[in-house]
Amino acid sequence: MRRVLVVVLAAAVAAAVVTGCSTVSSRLPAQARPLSLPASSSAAPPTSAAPVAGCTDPRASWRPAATQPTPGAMPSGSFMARIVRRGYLRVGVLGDSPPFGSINVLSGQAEGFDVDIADEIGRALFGSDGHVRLRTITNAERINVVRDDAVDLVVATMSVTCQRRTQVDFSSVYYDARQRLLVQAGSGITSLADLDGKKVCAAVGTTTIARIAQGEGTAHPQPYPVTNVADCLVALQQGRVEAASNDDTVLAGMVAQDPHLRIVGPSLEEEPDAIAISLAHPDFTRFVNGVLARIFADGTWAQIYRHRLGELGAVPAPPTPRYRD
Amino acid sequence: MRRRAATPPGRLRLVSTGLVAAIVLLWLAAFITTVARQRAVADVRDTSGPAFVAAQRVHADLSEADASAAAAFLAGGVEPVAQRQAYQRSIAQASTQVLQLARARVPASVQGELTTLAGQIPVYTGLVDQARADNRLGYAVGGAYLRQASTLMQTTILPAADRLAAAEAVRVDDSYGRATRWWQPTLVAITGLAALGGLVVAQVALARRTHRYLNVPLVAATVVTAVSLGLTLAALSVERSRLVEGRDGGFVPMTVVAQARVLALRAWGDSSLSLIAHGDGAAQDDDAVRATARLGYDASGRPTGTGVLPAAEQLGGPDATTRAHLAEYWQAYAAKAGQIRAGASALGGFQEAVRLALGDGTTAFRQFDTAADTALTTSQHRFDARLTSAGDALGGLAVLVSVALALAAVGVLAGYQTRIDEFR
Repeated sequence: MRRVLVVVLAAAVAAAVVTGCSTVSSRLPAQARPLSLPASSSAAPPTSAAPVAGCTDPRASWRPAATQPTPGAMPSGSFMARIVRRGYLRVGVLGDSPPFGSINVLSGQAEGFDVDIADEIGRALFGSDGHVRLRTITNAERINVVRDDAVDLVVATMSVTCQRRTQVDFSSVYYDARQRLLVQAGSGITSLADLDGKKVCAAVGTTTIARIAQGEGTAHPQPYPVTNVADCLVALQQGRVEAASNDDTVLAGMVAQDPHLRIVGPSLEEEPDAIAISLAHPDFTRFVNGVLARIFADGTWAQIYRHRLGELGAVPAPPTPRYRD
Repeated sequence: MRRRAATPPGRLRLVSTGLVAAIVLLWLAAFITTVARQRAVADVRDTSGPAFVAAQRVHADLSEADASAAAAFLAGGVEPVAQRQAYQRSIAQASTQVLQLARARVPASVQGELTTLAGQIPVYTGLVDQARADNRLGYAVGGAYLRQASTLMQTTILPAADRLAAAEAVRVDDSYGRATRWWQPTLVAITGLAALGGLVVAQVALARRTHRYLNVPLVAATVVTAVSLGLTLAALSVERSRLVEGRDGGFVPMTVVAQARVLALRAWGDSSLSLIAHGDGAAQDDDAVRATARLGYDASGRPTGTGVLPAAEQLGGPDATTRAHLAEYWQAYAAKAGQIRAGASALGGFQEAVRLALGDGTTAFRQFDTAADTALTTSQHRFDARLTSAGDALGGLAVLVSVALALAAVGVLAGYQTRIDEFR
């Protein structure tokens, strides 16, 4: 009897200890733990300088048809007819590279030379304005958005190379740019030869970056890759780099935002800019080339140049298209 | 010893010494427990608790600042005054909290994180102001500065705040453990029962031997010991239950709601950044979807049943009403966010989407954010109040028990002395 009482008492004490005295933990609840950051994935498509078999003239594009279809009446079964049926043309442009493609701060809309070219193509397809849906992209995304069919065209200061031709198709050249250098005024830098071991900024996924790495003679600058074109201007203003490189016209757009910068040096590379189109739609490439040939001939191109790039000086002759059949 | 035990007075003296020793053991157990727990409760109340709250606040305030800066930028060259003020308020509050953290002497392992906060917040605000200045001038480079600022915030500053909060949470957990060790009341109970048992058995033996049934000093010592034991155990129990209340009614809802707010702010900021990116916002949209999924809603806005917001609602507790509308408000905002996303990608719908984002979208989000902030503050106050009252439960106990048990020991000695004296 007494033993039973002791056992009961001990059990009661143990229960009291467990329920009333157990050590209290106050760990962070599972739901209150922070969401981990995603791994940033900005994989640029591989670019290499290896020669591409069968590519003798990267500038040559599909010859346009003898007569362009009239707006709104595209040949049935063509890619153009599909675009018209959809109701809008999807175009990728840069959002931070005035005067080619940038977001107007006041209107919130993309504008620039590239955007005007895209509008011309939209007008040729639909016969009226307001059928172009713009999407801003980064340089590194230009090839992928075309290949993944996220856009119909990329008009984004994209220079034609044999390497890129294996991945996407290109229209005829609509602007002949030259790659040059942008430096701080009074820095004394006049060419790549002055930048041995120094950092030079360029956007990821451009031909520019390979040219910087190549250097000049014995001088080998250090490429400083960034995601967006405007990031180079930021890097230059913050003194992270000694120079930035891009198309001379894009650099001019940066000088317009910062008068303490100068464009210097000879042309590092010819940059023939063309419109990227999927390899799957040669009929569309021919159509775009037809539109470009028309605006080169009827003065529309010169008008766009005067409007967007007029500050650079007199309007040059439009590029001469080269075709293959 | 043996010689002394051979005589009756010697035996009595030995017994009385043993009883005093038992009382001293009880006193030691009670005193050390009380002092250790007081110190642990003070640690949570004065150091790790406020530091944890400050680290969470910094996180929320900075998230708010980043989202407000993006929303203000979205409006174009002339940013809305309300957004600008919200941004400035958040930055000011975050800076105050950093000071608070510095005062709380964060653990050495996360001293670097505090340095990151103190050093990078000015860099962040500098970048945002550069972005504003460029935006005001109509320069496209403003967007690049804002992106850099936001990247700095999301990849450097906020993770530092997260690590600080996590380190402080570990400190809170540790202090909670030290304030409620299970063996402390057990030890007090065992030593107390031993002392009481000894006193009772000794008095019964003494009564049998001397046939004097009432020894007043000994009875008084027994009563005082019993009362001391009862008071100590009661105080420890009250302290523990107040700490548990503080955890369940304060700490847990506070941390869950804070996380809900941070996730919501992240989704809101992503929505603005996605619009600023003009169609190139897939990464931001994905991030918003992830934050929303964690909140407890799928990509199309349907509740998944699990997540931070359902958890916050299911917590119950005294302040459950402050959290009752959070899910409802969030769904109202999420509906607007869906409209904004759809509008932004529709042909010619961009301007309308921006107008909606700055108007109804912001209003709906602020309603959620204000409600979340209220719930957070309420839980925070409850946590604080419970910690204070847990400390109060132990107030003066150490002194009281010391005096009472000293008297009990004197009583034991006096009670036996009269019996020993009778042998002379």
